[in-house]
Amino acid sequence: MTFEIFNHWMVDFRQRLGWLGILAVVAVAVIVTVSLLAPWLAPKSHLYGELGDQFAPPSINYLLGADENGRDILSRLIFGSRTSLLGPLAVILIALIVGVPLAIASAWKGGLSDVIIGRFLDLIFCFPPVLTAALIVTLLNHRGLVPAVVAVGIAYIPWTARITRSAALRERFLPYITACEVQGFSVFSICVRHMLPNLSRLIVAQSTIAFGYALVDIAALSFLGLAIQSPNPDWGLMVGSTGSIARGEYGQAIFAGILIIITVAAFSIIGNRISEDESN
Amino acid sequence: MLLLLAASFVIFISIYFAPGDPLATLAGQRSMPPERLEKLQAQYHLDKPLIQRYFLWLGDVVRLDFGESITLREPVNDRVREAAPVTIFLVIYAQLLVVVIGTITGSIAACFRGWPDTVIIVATSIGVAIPNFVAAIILSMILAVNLDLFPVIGDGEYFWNRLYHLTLPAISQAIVASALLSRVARSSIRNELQNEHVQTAIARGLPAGLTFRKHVLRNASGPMLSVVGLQVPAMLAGTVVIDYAFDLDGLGSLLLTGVNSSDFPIVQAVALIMVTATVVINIGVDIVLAFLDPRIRLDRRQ
Amino acid sequence: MALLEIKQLNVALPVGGSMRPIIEDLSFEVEQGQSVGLVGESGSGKTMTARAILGLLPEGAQVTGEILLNGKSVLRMDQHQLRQMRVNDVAMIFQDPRAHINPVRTIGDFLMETMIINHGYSKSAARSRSINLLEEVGLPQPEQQLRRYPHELSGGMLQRVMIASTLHSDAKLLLADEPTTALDVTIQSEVMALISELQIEHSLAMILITHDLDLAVSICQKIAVLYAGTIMEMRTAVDLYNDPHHPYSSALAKCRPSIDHQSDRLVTISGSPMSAFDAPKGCVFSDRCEHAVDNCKTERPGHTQKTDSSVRCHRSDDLRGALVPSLRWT
Repeated sequence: MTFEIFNHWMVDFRQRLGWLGILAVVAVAVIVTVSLLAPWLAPKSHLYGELGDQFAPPSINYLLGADENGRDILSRLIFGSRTSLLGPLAVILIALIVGVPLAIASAWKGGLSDVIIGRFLDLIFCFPPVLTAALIVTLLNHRGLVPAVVAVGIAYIPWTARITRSAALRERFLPYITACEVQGFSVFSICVRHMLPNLSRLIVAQSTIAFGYALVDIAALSFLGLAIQSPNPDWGLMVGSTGSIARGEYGQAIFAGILIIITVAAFSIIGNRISEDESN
Repeated sequence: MLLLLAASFVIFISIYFAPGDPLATLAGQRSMPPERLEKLQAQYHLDKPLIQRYFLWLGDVVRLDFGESITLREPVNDRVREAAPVTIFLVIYAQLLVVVIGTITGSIAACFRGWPDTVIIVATSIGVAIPNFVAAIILSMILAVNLDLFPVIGDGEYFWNRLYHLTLPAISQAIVASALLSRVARSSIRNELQNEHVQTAIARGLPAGLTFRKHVLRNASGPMLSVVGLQVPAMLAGTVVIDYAFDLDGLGSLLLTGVNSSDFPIVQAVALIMVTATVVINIGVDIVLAFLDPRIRLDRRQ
Repeated sequence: MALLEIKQLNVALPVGGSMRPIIEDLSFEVEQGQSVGLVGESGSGKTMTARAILGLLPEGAQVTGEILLNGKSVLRMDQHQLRQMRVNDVAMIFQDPRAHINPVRTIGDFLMETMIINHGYSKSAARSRSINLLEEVGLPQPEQQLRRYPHELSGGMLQRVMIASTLHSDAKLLLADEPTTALDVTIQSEVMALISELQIEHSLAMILITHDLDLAVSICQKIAVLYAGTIMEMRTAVDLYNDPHHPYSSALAKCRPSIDHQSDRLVTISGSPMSAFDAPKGCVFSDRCEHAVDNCKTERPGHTQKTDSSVRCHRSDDLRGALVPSLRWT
């Protein structure tokens, strides 16, 4: 069944991407590969720096220069890709695992449970990720990737749920579903084996776009110092490197920022292409 | 309304999710003299049952009494009152930029096929990918430090000075939002242009500019308004980042101060404000939407 | 000089990369105060003709030929002149009033906007004029209607509002594009009667676009039968019905079932209606015509002009007797 879902969209996925889409896919592929092969690609350590080399300008030794602690910027960017990709991935997983079943159940049952779930989602929707993160960090007195991911993940549940719900509502009363009901299949199996694959393309497309936004949200939290902590590298953190910026050294901030923009744009484009095909 | 209560309850209750006892959380990592602890106990009514505590707390909050900040030893309310105007100014400024840029570019893209459309589509595709903090850093670097056109930090005193200081922050906030609005405007206006009643207006000899404003734009503004309505709460949350980037003294900065010093009253207060603003704005948007399209009004009544 | 003269109009539209002809070699005239029916099935190009007259053809359309309104060429007008024409000379009633009136604005706004903007009325003058017009078209309680929104009115009432809006200008030519097709059957004759009355009262020239030959014959003085973008026959209404000179007109007349006449099978024209670009070489009607011969399939017939009629058929003279319908128009 997973294979069916995978196949379902994989086939036309390649056909109608357009040159921009292909560019985006290439970009994503490069970034993912780099993050996976980081230990072999990074020229120097991403955590430790040479004391005397603070703010070293770009050279053979430090291809993109060094930061305020003498650490190689390029290596940090390479390793930073890991957390920058991992965070949003976790966020999307949380949002999907909680949001999709909730939405399908809500669409299926209708009536009171739908309303209650809807209100519950509205409640979550009132809390932007930054706020939830602020609350969690203050109360648990703990910063790091985990609280950030939890906070952003919670914030994205309403989004996935809403989109899934409206699509599920459309599917709910289509003849093929009713046919299954008549044949006596259990609700669970109908939803999982029949409805879900048909919704899968939409879910994948929206998740891809959401991935980009989640990346931004987590990076923003790192920027503020609420997520990834120094000395761990992370693009958001690097954009917010006050140690460097105060001295007028914008190097790592700009590089990290540009990487974020490219990654987010790429995911956006891909997500849009996938969902465009559906409406065509 | 109910939502507001529910949200406030969540905020209220959140402190009890913290490990250990609330008093300890409020105290944070600090050691405190016993009189202060007693004062805190009284302030948060910790000796009374939960529900009663909630309503007492609610009563305080509605009167804008957010209690006393633990680290700063002064009423949170004062800090909020100082910080709020900056944030409100920033959000309004940014939203104005968004509406103007988004509507104009969206309209151009919708009406003129060919290269203006393509340029705008590409620009918006990139625009949505530029997070506010990245924009903040880039803009700071280029315009403030290198070219010295705008001040890097601070939020200015009186109106024009403030406008000047908040320009870069506003632009940073506005980039993603205006790209989104542009897209929505483009598709909404395109849709509307194809409607037959627009043909009627043209066939009756109404001038093009007027037809566009009155018949196309007005009808298309529903989805656009919804998007703008959704953006405002997000922008409020975004001020946290912007305040940090540009060293502004707004609510965002206040929130961070609270978080960094484990000062719960501050965090709580800002959280309440943001959530309330979100709900109020959403309700406001619904009302205006009903006003714009009389068909919705009637549906509601029936 | 005729009010409207269309001479050898050709219109082609870009469809999926290529140019497709919609109207071919169309010519007819409308005199002052005369009502002309433009009858055709779907795809015949009748709506396009109306739009061409108003200068409202879609972007990218290729047009040749001539459209003269009061002696001035519509096709060569600039934006300003087109606007003037639409305000002062031509008025149009559209097919589906609910789609053609802005749903978020009041009826009053709809009626008054042209008065205020195009003709410089004051708001109160526009208001009282609108009330007069609504009375003229038979809408009850006009003051209240002004404040209503389109979705609060029925289709028939909305069409009356649309008709009212065409009356107030000094336009001498009225274009009615299937004005009753979207309405309930019971309302259709009322609204059509209203249009006809007003046309005669205000001495307007009218082009009635419809697929209903009976309707056209009952309302109009002259009828032009349109098929695949060309006029097959044009004559006085009753003559065309009783003594058609073209197989297509005859077939249309025969197809209409009549309550007075019992038949076992409904008469139809074999095949389906088509647009100009699907039409075969030679006579466009040749592959559906029961009287077609080889000549018809290879050579396109020209217009055979007589004093007040024209026919486009090779065999028109031969077929004279065979084309007469069983029922004459009374």
